[in-house]
Amino acid sequence: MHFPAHRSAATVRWLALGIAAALLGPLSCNATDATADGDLTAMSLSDLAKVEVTSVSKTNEVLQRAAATIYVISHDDIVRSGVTSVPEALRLAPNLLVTQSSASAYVISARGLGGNPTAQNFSNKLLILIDGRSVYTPLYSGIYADTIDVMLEDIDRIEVISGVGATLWGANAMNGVINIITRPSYLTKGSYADLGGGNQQQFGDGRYGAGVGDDGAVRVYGFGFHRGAMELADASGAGDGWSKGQAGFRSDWGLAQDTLTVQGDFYRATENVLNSLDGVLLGGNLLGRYEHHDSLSDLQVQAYIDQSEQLGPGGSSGFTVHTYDVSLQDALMLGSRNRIVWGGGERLYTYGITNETELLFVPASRDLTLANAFLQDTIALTGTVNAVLGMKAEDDPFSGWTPLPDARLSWAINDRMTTWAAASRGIRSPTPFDTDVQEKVGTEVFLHGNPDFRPEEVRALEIGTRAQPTDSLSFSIAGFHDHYDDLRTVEPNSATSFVPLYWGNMMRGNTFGIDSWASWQVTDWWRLSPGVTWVRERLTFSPGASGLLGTVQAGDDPGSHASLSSSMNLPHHLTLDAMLRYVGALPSPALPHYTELDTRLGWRMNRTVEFSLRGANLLHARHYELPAAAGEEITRSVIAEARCNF
Amino acid sequence: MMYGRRCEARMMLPRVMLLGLMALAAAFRGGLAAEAPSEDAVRAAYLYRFAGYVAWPDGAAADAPFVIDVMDSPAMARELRRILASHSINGRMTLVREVSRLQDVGNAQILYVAEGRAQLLRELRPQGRSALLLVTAEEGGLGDGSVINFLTVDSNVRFEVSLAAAERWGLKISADLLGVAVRVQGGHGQLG
Repeated sequence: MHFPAHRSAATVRWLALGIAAALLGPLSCNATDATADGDLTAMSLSDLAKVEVTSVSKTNEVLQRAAATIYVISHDDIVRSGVTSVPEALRLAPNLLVTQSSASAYVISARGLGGNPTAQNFSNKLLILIDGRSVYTPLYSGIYADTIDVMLEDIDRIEVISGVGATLWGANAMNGVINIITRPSYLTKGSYADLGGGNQQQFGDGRYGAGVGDDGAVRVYGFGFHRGAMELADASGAGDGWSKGQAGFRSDWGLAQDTLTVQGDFYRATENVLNSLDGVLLGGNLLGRYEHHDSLSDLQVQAYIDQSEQLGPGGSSGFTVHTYDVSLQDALMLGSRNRIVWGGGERLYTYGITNETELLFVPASRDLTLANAFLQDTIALTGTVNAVLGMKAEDDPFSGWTPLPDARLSWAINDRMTTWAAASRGIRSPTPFDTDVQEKVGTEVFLHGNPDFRPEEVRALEIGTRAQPTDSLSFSIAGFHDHYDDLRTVEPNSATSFVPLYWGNMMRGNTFGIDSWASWQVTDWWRLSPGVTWVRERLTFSPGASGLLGTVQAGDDPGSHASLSSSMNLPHHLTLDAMLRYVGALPSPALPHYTELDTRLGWRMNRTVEFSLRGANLLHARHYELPAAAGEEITRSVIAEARCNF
Repeated sequence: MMYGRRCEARMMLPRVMLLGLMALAAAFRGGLAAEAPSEDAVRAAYLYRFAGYVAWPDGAAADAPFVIDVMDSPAMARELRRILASHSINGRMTLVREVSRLQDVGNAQILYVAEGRAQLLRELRPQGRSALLLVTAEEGGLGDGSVINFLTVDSNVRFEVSLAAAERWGLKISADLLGVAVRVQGGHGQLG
């Protein structure tokens, strides 16, 4: 078992180098392979539509002036990196930390407090939205990474906001918000197919899009993949391979000033479990969004339903969650200085849990209703200084109405530089895992949920600068100071009996740090993008707390993580992309720091077909990204892929 | 255990560096990568061509120059001047002006508004103005009142058209132009 696994890794390594050499080898010594424009003015409109343009890195102008830390992962970034899943794509954002714990599970966090699975504290302070649909689970506020697959080819961009985003996005947007935005269907007309495979995974995707009448367009897509098992400490298989099939559609209908979007996705996955029967994931969603734009206001009304079902091995445990959500948002100018965004929404979760014998939710089913209303005013104080004042009130079934205020100030020093500061409050609402859970040893309950559990709270101060000092260089740097209160702890039941333990809110403290990144267009054909995040955590227990599990239960976080991406356009329609990432050591359970490398070599044979070869985690045959108690060894992988647009 | 992993990383590094060096060598052997035109160059060519597919209502005197105002985009103004140095539009002389405020927008035929500035158009009304073909280059540009909005999709510069906005400004847009648009908003029976 041991030996063959090792050998296959070595073979893969040399195979990768061999293919890379074969692809690079035939490069001739000819100078440029000029597809240069000649005379653009002589071209017809339809020919102009086919001209390939250089995509020089640039900061989106709107984001350039936003008073928040925002990194945007573009469609191009995703394609050129060769990533095959949403969590891997999120790694491209330097302000996120993404660590893989098994073939299907990832931990995603921003600005620390990413949880500590060994203390049952899961990463639960980030919000992820896919086209406006929230995908965190209400059971514990975290993300099931195996349920958030999106057809990567159809993603327009991913906006990653680090810091509190509560006023517009609500509770759980405590340390960050991730908006995954897919392309409208009128931009995805035509057919697309890809097929890829390697030592770790095999996959195929297909999409067809077409116009419908004068005003509409629709696309349908489907994909399937199998991802192989990771490894245990002794290099034996972790038995956690999984397969998924997903299909969906999106249609957009444009009238004079109105747009109607209807989209949906449906999936089924099978997950292997070591020495046990398979688990199953089933899910689907349907979303409708109506937008009206005119010179006075931008109105958006959205509704969706979502069903997510997870069954443990053989169906012996699991849960089903139904979500029904409606929301309204309107943006309008009030006079010439005030831009108001107001709105509200209501969400109903109904869930049912098939309890395990030693991990129970009591009650096993609930209906949870959340409501919110918000108002935000962006005030143009001068031509270059904007103030943003916002307030959201959110009502959750466990803690009632909570105010989430936010104040921001931005100053566009010139066209190329913006400085901003912000103060805001965010919360993580209580969840059934905080209030209803019962954990048993045998028949004895040793941990009990706390019906009086309070929201975890953050009050954040941020200051940042974004600048593009030259056409080829841009950077963003933000410093933050977050004050946390009522973080979850484990407390003894009473002075006389230690067990059952229950959840308390007896930890608080500060984190501070820096999110920073830059983009340097070294030459026309080469871009380098470094990113560094640095976080310090100073947490303490409140007076009277048990101190059980230590303050590190809030987050087994590295003190820093960094990345360096290189993106090259080479002659002969070759592209070479690489990302080196460094993650600092984890304190407890301890894990040494590590550095890993992903690369992709792409070759556009013609307008229709592209071939690529990607290597992921190339520096080590296997490495841990979470301590052995919480994760498996992640193995090196190589994927060859063919993509076809026709 | 730990030692083993580190040791392996060290052995691995030279091969990785080799791969990197090979790629670099390839890049330099080939010289600079193919020089594709910039987005602005293609947008400027489109603007030049659009004039042939749009009918302005106020048939200006043939000897008056055809004016394109460019808001907040020196690069775009440069590309337009480069093209128009050797081309006329509809047989008329051309003039490219750079402006940075709405108040400075004069009696132009085309107003191009740089990325990120489209919101300014919300305050622009057709009343008391000559017909302006408003062109933007950002997501949601049509919502801000633009007539033609550029989008870059997979390294291609494409555009979408709002017939409602065209109508508001009294512009007629030919079906040939609409046929190339990725999307035409408010399309029924208004083809000019």
